[in-house]
Amino acid sequence: MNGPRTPHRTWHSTEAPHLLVGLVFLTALTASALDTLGTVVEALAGGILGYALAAFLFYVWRERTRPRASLLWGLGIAAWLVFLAIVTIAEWVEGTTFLFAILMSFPPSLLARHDHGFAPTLFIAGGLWFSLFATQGLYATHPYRLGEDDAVWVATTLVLAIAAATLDHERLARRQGPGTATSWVLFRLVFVATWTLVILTLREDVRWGHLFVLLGIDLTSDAGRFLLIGLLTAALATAAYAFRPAKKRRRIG
Amino acid sequence: MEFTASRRLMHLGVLLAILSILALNARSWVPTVAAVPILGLLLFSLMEVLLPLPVSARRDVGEGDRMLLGDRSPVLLRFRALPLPVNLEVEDELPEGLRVVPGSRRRFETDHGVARTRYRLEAVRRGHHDLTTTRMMRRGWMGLFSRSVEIPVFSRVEVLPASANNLGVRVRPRPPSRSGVTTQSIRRGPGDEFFALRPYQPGDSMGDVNWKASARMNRIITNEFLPEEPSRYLLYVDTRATGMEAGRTDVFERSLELASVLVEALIEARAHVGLVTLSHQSVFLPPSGGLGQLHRLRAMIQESQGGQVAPIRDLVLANLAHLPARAEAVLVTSDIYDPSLRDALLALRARHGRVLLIAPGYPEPAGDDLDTTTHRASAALLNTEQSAVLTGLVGYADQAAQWPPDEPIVATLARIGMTRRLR
Repeated sequence: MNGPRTPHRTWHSTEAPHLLVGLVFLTALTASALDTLGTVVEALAGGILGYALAAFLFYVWRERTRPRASLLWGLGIAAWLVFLAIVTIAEWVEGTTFLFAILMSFPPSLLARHDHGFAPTLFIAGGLWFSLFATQGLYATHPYRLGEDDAVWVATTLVLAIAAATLDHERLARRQGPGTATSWVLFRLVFVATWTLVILTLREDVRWGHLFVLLGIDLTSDAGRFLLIGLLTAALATAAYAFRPAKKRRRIG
Repeated sequence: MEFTASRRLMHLGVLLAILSILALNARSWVPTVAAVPILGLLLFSLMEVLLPLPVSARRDVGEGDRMLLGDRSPVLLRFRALPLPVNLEVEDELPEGLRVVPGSRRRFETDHGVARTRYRLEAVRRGHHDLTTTRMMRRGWMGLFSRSVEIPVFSRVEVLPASANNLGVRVRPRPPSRSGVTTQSIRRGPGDEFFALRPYQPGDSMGDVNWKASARMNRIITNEFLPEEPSRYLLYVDTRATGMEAGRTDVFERSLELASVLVEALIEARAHVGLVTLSHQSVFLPPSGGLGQLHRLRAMIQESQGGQVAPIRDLVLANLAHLPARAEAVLVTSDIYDPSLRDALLALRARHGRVLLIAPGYPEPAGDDLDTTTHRASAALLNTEQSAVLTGLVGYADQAAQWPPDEPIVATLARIGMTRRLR
């Protein structure tokens, strides 16, 4: 029958885009751990393990590993959060870089396998969290020396994580329509990298604290901090209202 | 003009909020530095979106504006070239009966100040479809922001019903026989009814020579036969569209498609075909053959509208008396749960002597469309029938009248199964 066809779900089993995204994200993780050879190896090994685990689960169970709102997934996410909290907070955990790399690379890899729209955000968030906390011990020992050298690596990690997210987003977009030109993608990434470098060179002047003091918010007091959080929340709510998605208009006739 | 921001902006906003809290409390550069590329990303994608958008466009639907159901036709959109076309997206607002072939959108080509893009359109449903507007959209980096404008661009596409040729369906009609027994002669000829004797002419078959008459007349005499009488079919198509309102599967369209395919296949097999649409304005066309009849039948199918809620028995009985009895009745309905279906079949059998019930299968449910178990079971049953309908046009013939009244028709269909096929 030639009827209203149901779209057949097809697997575009091109491995190369996934590998590229994974590779860029691994590079991002590594860029954050360039302090010693040991941390580099830990970050690489953990990242590869998380990525391979996601790929393995996907190829063995396919559709069953698709994220959905179910009890099992809720428990899984809760367990992941507990692990993350333990690894982040507890001091008795050894090899935090390795564990962080696994925890950060597994969820976005799995979501990317399922072409989930949340994967790019998770790539950025993963890189961010990793750069902030994975080498926390390192930062904690030298709190005041940090800005001089390590800021560059943090920024590099973020730029690379954004690159991974962009690649993944382009891969998703290409499935339905024409993709963005590669030169244009590169241009955007170069823009963000340049922006980051410029900001880093001016870093003493653009510290957020200075900015908020200019706005009249005293950040040393609790009231000022709460005021700032309230402002941010209000701004987010306003943004969510102002930028709400357009309603689908239904045409009759 | 619409300006939208995706939900991902909220995610990034939450990230930024966490970062700012950290930046205020931790005496370190790290959170601030981490926020910098994200802010750059936001800034850049906002700038990208604010570039100008086209204000007018032209659309050409390839290969004319008439398509057969299931056809794919290229569409060309042209508009004035603008800076940075890579983040520009053009999306036609398509009516329900048309859809874009996935993955068929092409990149823009710019030539002498004119930007072109093309995609392929697939006809999903018969009827007249109007394409009224085109949506031009600038989409920023990672889809964070987008700005769009709707431009009026009018074109009309007519989608004709499905064609049997395209589907590869062939039907050989049964020869008309009053006994109801199908006999197939070994010897083939122009017909089987004797008309007269005449002298032999070169080219006549040796098998047709009447040897006794030749001996009598002392010259070679052959039998002459009347040309074969064409088979006559009368299609009763259930176009009540009750299923269209009740469920998500579009049984109304599927019945019409099946009717269209049957009509074409039968006409091509040199049968005479008539059509009755059972709806609130029941239309009928008495059986006839030829291309003209095919065009008339197609136009009738094209114009069919649903929207009647009545038992099928009443509709059949209302039409039965006006129509020639000497034709084989074919009842096409998807609503095999209709309690009056059995009575309708009995009435048709009493009038026409032979009745064939064809129930087009439901399309494969996509995902969680059907949730109740009963629906699932019946859909599975009908899916098996659907494959048979596609390959051999399964029909449920005379047994229909002998169905026990207590047995559900679905069960009977399953029991009789693919016993009779029109090949």
